[in-house]
Amino acid sequence: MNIDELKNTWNDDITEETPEISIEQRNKINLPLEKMRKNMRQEFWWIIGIFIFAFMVCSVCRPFKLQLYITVLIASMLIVTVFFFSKFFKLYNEISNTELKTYDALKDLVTQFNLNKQYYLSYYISFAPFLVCEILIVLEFIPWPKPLSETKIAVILIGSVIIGLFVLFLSGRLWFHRYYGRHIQRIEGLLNELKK
Amino acid sequence: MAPLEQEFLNKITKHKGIIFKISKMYMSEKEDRDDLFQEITYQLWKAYPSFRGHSEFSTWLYRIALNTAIIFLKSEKRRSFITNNDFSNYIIAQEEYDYHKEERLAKMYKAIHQLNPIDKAFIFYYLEDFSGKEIAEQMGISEGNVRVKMNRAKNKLKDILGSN
Repeated sequence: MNIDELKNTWNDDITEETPEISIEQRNKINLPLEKMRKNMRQEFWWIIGIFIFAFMVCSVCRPFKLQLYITVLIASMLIVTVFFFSKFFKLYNEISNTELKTYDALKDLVTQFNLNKQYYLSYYISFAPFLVCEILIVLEFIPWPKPLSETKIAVILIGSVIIGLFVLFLSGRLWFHRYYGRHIQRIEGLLNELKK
Repeated sequence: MAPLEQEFLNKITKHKGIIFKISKMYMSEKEDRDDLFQEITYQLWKAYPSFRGHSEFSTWLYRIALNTAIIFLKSEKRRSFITNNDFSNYIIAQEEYDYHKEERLAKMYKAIHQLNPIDKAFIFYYLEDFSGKEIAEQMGISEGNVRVKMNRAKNKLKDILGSN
C-alpha cells in the first residue's frame, strides 16, 4: 500500500457502529489535566489529614506556652496551605481550552502548568520560616541534660535549616515530578514537536 | 432534554463516524478508543455554547477532537493480555465480509499508530483533503511549516508502510 492509496482506504472506512454518545464525563482519567487535578485533590486531603494529626499532638503538648506556640504555628501553616491549594484548584479549573488552534492550545496548557509549578515551588519554600520557628521552639522548650552553649545552638539551628531546606527542596522536586512534572514534560514535548 | 443539548446531539450524531475514526487513529486498543471517543464528545459539549458559527461546524469539531486526542493518555490500568492492535469492528457497516478491505484498514491504522500524536494530526488533515492554508489555520502554524511537517509525516508513514 502506498501513501496515495491511503486516502481510498480512509474513505472506505465507514463506521456506523460507534460507542454510544454521552455528554457526561466519566470517572476515567485520561487527560493529563484531569490526572493532575485528581492528584491535587488527593494531596490536599492528605495534607488536611496531617494537619488534623498535628493539632491532635498539639492538644497534648505541655506546658501551655509550648502548646500555644505550636498551635499558632501549625494554624499559620494551615492558612498558607489553604491559600496555595485554593490557587491550585482555581488555576486547574480555568485551564484547558480545546477550542484554540492546536499550537496555541498546547502553549496555553504548558504556560498554565508552569505557572502552577511556580505556585507549587512557592508553597514548599513558604515552609522554610515555619521550619526555623519549629526548631527555635524545640530548642527553647526541650529540656536538655546540660544547657546548650551558644555555639551549639547556632550549629543545631543553622544545620537543621540547611538540611531541612535541602530535604524540602528534594522531596518537593521528586513529588512534583512524580505527580505533575511528567505530564507537563509530555505536553512540552508535543509543543516542541510542533515548533521544530 | 434542553434544546441546546438536543441541537448538539443532532449535530454530533452526523459526525460521530469521523470522531470514531480519529479515536481509531490515536488509540490502538478498543477500550482506549471508546474512552477517547467519549472524551472528545464531552469536550465538544463543553465547548459547544461558545461555538459562534464563524467556521464550519465540522472544522470546529476537527480542531477540538484533535486537540483532545493529541494530549489524551492511554489507560495505565490496561490489562496486559489485551493485544496492542485490536482491529475488530473496523468494518461493521457492510453486511458482506470484505477481507481485503479489512486487511487494508488494519494495515493503515497499524501504520498510523506508529506515528507521534502531532504527525497523526497532519495525516488526518491530509486524508481529509485539507489545504495547507486550512491546516495552518487549524494548527496555528505557518503554511511553510505545515508543508515541512506534512512532508515529514507522510515520509514517516511511507517508511512504515514500506517496512510492513
